[in-house]
Amino acid sequence: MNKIPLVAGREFFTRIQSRTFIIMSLLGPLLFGLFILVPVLMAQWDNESTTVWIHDPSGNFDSAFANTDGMKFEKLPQGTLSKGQLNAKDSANIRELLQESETGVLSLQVLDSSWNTNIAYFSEQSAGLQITQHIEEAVNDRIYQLRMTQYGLDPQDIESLNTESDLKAYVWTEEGSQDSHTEMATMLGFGAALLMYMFIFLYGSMVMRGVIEEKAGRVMELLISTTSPFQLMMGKILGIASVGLFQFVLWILLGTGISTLVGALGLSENSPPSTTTGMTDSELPTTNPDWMQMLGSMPWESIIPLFLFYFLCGYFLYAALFAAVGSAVDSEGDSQQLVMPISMPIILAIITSQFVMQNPHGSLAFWMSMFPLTSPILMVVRLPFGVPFWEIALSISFLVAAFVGSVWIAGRIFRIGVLMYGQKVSLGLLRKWLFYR
Amino acid sequence: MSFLDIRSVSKSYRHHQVLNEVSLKIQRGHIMGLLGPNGAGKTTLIRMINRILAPDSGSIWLDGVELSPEHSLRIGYLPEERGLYKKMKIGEQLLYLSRLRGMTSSDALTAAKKWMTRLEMQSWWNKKAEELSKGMQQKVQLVVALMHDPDLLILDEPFSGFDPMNAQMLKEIILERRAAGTTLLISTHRMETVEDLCTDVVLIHRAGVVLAGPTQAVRRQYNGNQIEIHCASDPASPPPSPPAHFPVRLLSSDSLSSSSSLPFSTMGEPITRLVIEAAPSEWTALIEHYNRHSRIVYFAERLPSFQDIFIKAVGKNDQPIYN
Repeated sequence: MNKIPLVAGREFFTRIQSRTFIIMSLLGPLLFGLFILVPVLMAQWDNESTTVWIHDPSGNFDSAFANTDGMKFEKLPQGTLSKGQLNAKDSANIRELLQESETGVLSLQVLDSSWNTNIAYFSEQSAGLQITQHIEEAVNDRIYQLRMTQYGLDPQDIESLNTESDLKAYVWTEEGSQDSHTEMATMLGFGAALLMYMFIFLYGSMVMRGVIEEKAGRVMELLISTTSPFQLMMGKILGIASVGLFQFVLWILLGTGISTLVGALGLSENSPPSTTTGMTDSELPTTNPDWMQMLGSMPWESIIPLFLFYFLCGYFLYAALFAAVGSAVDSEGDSQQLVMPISMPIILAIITSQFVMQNPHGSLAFWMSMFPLTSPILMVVRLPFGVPFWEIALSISFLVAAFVGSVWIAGRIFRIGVLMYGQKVSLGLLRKWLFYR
Repeated sequence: MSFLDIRSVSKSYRHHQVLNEVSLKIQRGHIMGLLGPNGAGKTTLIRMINRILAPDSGSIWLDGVELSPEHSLRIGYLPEERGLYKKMKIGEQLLYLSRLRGMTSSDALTAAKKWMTRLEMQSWWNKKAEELSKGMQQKVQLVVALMHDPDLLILDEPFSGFDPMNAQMLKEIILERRAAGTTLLISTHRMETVEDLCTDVVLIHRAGVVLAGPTQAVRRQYNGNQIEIHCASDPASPPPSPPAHFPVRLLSSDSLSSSSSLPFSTMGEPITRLVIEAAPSEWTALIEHYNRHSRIVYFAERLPSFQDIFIKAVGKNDQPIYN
């Protein structure tokens, strides 16, 4: 008798009735919104400017530094340096300057006639990349100008040599050329991969905790006297997958609802702080018709089913492994060590995804999207860029094989693990359980 | 034909043999007490009957058919490790667990209500398990074992954790189930359970069956041919010892002043109690001998308690059965 639907049903209904589920479903979109908003707001609030005191004995760099939003450039006050050079004797004076928050001293020393320059920056705390890069660029630009003058070149002539090419990427299809919409593909691929990553971790570990709960609560003995361990495990995995999908749908609906509501009330336009902080409209990503057009031109009919397939297969693959870990330990605290080897490939996949986005058809991308533990995330990253059919087919067959394999392995471990209490579980012991009769 | 038939079942974990060629038969409607020291393999045997574990060799037959998943609905199980879902309502747990057994939802609902009324726990339906005491949770688990009206009921230490009231109630249910034709297997360390309830008994020790059989037969087997004779006699002239030519031995003789410990009323008469070791063939001669000299008011075979039998059987089997 097949009891998987019964087990899955219990998992689904008891979980969606729980207080945490309801709270998380409501708070999810809000938290997600905050997640995106907070860094933007933080960047706006972080407008405390840094004062840079310039020590430029040659006087050649006066015009090189223009004040910006976050940086103010001033000449070193008279009398700070007794001999016109930075040395230990004037330490007290310099320290006094640096004591004010967010200040630094920049020393520029021209070494030779071709304007090679020693640049040094001193501050109380080590300087951030933003400051050092800005200074380097300004100094480089100034030296560039100085050298042009030295060689008798007209800066305008040189300027006219520069061009700003805008490469448009197309793919050649049977119907001719088509826009390859690289940016769109990148966004889409990464978004999907992130979603996948979240789903596997959130709900995969929920499977693990569910198994631990049944085992620690000693209800397991009764369960496996009525139902085969395999059916119990599959029921749990499927039930929790439905919980996850249900929650995602709720989040999407709520998120859309909230943003529509906010849009309808015109709240986003009336919010005063954003206009006063100096961020211009052009810096904010705006939805323009181009985007809508690009969205419309994506090959959705192949992306969506494939995405769903990788999504579910990837989840099942990992959820089965999480279930095996849950069955092997007595409490959640003991699970850490065994969760590590499972989470490594997922983390590796999400880290690799940025390289894959840069080079979606390279060999790293190829192999990582074949390897079944990383393919659910990395193939999804590649999909919007267009992947040859044979690669998808090969990757899917590996994934399906791995999925079957992981369910088999997890089932074997589960069946022994759920009866074992008080054992110090290691990978070696798990291997032994695998081959028990 | 026996209802439950365990045929030379063996099970070992790595280098440790838990059960070695264990065979056991229980007749329909009997109550079998499963005894054995801790770690003797009782739980493993019970798990195999519940199909939680598979035997390495041997087979288990229920009502003439080898065990299969279809038997789930015919077996009721109260595990020693009691457990429920902490956060789930009692009513929902009962329905879920009995549906996993294979009951339909409507049957499960009827049965759950019936048993909750019977055990006076009607008001618990919407309570969560974590709100109940340990003893109360145990009642819920008992209901789980009984709900589907199983033909074979396996109770692992059913009395531990119950107060005297609930223990009495459980005893009644066990006897009532037996009368209704249910076969029971009760694993226990409480010897009075065996003496009170069990029709048969099996003792497992060191992976094997040490003794098995109907309760009375087992006691007789261990009785050492002792009889107890009570004679009404004046303490001043006690009944004589058995004649020297009898192949019997007087073990003790004492006068009983109070009759409170006796199974019958002595109406204030002075009584002498004699304990004699004698083969059953000598009993008639002994009765005649004592009736000549005084008046026998009580004669009984002295059966050992299961406490004694257990210690004797486990103690004498100190040689490992397996190697």
